[in-house]
Amino acid sequence: MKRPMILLLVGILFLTCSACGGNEKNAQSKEPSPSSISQQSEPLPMDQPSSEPEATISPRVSSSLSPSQGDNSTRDIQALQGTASASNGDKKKHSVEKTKPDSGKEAPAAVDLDLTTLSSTMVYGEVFNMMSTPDDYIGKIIRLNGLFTVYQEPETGQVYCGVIVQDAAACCAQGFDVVMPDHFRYPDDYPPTQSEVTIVATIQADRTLEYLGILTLRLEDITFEHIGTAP
Amino acid sequence: MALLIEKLAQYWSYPFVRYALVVGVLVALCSSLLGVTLVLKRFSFIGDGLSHVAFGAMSVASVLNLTNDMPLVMGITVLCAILLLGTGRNARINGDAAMAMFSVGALAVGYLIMNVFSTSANLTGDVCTTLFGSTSILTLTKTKVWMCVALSVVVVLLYIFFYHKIFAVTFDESFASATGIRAKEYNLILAVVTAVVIVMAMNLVGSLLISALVIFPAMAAMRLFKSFRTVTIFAAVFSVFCATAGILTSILAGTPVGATIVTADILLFALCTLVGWLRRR
Repeated sequence: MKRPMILLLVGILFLTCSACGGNEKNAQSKEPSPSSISQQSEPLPMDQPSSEPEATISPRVSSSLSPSQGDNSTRDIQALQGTASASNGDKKKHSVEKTKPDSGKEAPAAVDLDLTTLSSTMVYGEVFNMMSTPDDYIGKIIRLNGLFTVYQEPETGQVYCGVIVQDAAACCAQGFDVVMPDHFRYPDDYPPTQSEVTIVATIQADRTLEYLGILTLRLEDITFEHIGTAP
Repeated sequence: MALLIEKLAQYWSYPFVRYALVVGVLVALCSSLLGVTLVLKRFSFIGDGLSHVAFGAMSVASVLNLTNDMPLVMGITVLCAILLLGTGRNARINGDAAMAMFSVGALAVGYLIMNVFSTSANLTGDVCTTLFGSTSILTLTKTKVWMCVALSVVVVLLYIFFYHKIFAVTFDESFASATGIRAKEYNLILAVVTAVVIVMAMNLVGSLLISALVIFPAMAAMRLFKSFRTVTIFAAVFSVFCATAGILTSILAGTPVGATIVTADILLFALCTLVGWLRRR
């Protein structure tokens, strides 16, 4: 009995050590990442091109521009131009006509962190990591999809936006504070609340909101790739 | 298929996926080893009872804002395991009644404490994660992984070195005592080891699904094999296989980890039952 059990144990421990050992950041940087030419300090492991077709980026241009006037079909926003990722670069060549005011800034050079190519279980794990070790993610360019939510302070009229990323169990959704571009006017330029959006943005943190060592991440330089209709 | 392999290779580069697989495999191994003994001793439901106790302890730890809740949760669960398993059949409240009391009592008190004192903004999420594991296996830190590795080594070594004594105590405690084996002490070791495994397994499948890790692999192996040794070995193999398959499936398909592992266990049990039935015919 002891012999087979010890052999089994040794085998499992070997696997354990090989999985845990090493510097994961180094391991990640060895990942082939043709789509990511990020100049950020530490490349993240999801730099690989998506093997799935990007259904949300298409040459089709919707005539309906205002979110408040949204028709039932999905509206595609060609705000990202050219260089978002090598994998969908060809598709973006068709997307030359701007149909919605974008952030007004340069389109992001590369997406460091593409949550849209991950399963919902993986998304939860990665978003949890972002929340627990935010400093590793600040400055990265992220693509994600989730539910767009808007809240307007009744007294001050201040509008707060966020994107809720759902997890596999649908119980532990996590949200990001979203900073909308200055020239976006509420509500005309905003996506409908509870609509599914795909965005590309830069991760930043507001250190004034740090509480008990927990840093709140927010998304800036936001560009909408896709805006769905509200339920 | 190539797409799946490519996807798996991509996911493998994430440290939390590797940690999940390591912990999942180790927890599955330990729980299946204990499972054979617990099922044969008719303590199949101990996993459920102790995991509810661990849930209660975890809620206390979260209310106290403990950054590392493991010592408190482990301590309370081990204590309850000793009370439940270590006292044997001489206790004033017999085994299954005591287990039921601990189980529902801890669950109710834990939820009550979380509701009344919790400062978390997402109480439902916290409870859901603790009860079903959901995706907490993907949020392990490196420290927790190494702790799990160390505890698993201890559990497996204890099982290997005390195998013959555990075998004797499992089948006939009275006979074991008569032959000079200190059955009470081995029951105590079993109780402590069970509690350790339960606390580790809470990360993997959550407190409501732990019993599945204990029972299904042992029962599946019992459908095919008869001797204690082969049943133990194959229970371990089945459990490790199901945990690996479950974790990989869940990260690929985006399903909850714990529920997927348990579903894999159920399917394997059904398959073993079918094979066993065909062999007997």
